Amino acid sequence: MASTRVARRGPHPAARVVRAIVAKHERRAAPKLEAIALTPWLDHLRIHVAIAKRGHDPEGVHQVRVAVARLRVWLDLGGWRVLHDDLRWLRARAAPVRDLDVQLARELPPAYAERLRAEHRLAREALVRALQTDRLHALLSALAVLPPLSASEARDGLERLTRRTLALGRALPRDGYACLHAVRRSVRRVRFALEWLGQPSDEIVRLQDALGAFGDAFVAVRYAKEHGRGPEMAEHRRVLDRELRDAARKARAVWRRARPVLEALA
Amino acid sequence: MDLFLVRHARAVPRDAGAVVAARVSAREWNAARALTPRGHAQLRRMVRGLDRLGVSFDHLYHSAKLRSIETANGLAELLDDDGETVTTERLSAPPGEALFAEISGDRVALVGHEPHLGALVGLLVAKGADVTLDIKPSGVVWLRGELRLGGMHVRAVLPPRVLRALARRA
Repeated sequence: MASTRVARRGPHPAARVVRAIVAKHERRAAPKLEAIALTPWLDHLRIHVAIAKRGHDPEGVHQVRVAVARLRVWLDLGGWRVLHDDLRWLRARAAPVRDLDVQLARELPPAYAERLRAEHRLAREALVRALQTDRLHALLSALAVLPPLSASEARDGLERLTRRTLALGRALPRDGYACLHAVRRSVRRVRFALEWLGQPSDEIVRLQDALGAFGDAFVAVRYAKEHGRGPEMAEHRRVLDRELRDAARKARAVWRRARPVLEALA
Repeated sequence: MDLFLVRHARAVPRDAGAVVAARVSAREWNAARALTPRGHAQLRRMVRGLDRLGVSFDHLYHSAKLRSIETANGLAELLDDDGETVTTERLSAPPGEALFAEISGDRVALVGHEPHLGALVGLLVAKGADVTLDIKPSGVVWLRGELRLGGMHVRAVLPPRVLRALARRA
């Protein structure tokens, strides 16, 4: 009698509880088995540091900056406070060289181009000195020993970054260029976080491209203000101002279209 | 300058068997030795204890070894908002003028290893003179003065048990 009753009722209630706990534990534990190593972008950085040092190909400097930005996002996702400043230090030395490479690739008034070339030489010397320092060597060694981060940690980090981006974006319709810059930096982090998680998004890439074009236009205007003098610059500055306004307008429009994608991620 | 010499918290031990199993060189293995769970607990107590003393840093230097990086990451809670962390290999080597030249700031933490940190105390307090101090894992030595040979004095020696006691006084 007793055995029939047991068969009809199914497993003991305690067993169901245990199975539920085990299943819950497995759901929680499973993502921790996935690990995201920074190795691909650390290798990328190493390779392009060597190219940047040689100085034959401007792409080397650009890729140093790209790798630094991705590695900083990886550190963010893993909750690392240290090493950010070392990467920021490296980026600060690579950025002017890249910015000037971009300016010099376009048609410029000759005297202005000459001043930018002089700036470029100085920036490049400073970069090469930085690339030969012990600090860079120590940074690369330190990055090489960091353990992979768990995908669940990264997913939490992505949500955090996305919420922050949406909060910054709320001020976009009212605020000026400062807000657009903050959104640009924040969207870049979201894009790279998605890539670390193996979930790249075309919409976010398009948004970052539009915001990046705004950033480039802003830098062009800044250089023209700082280094452009004389009547030859008047027309050039008018062109740059128009490009900046257009890029800002386009970036805001792309933001409106991409916002639902971000909301879905948050 | 207030200088805090911090030995990293307890890390997984050197273990030749593990080196063979991990198929890495002894040097690579040593660089990648992480803090143990006990080390992480020590680190939390160290940070709380220093916080009780009102300690904060404007600069935080650490070596490129994982146990030092992890310890510095915990200590970064005490870093000013505009403070800076710097990675330097000089904290994994016998100390000297080259290390002094690299350091800047008014409230500085150096997270490193023995026997180099102990030797650094000797250099800064007694110009070397065969003086060293044995700093335990997650122990702190607080120096004050000028960063030059014999330019500093010891303000406090904070072994882990003292930091633990301070941490408990919440």
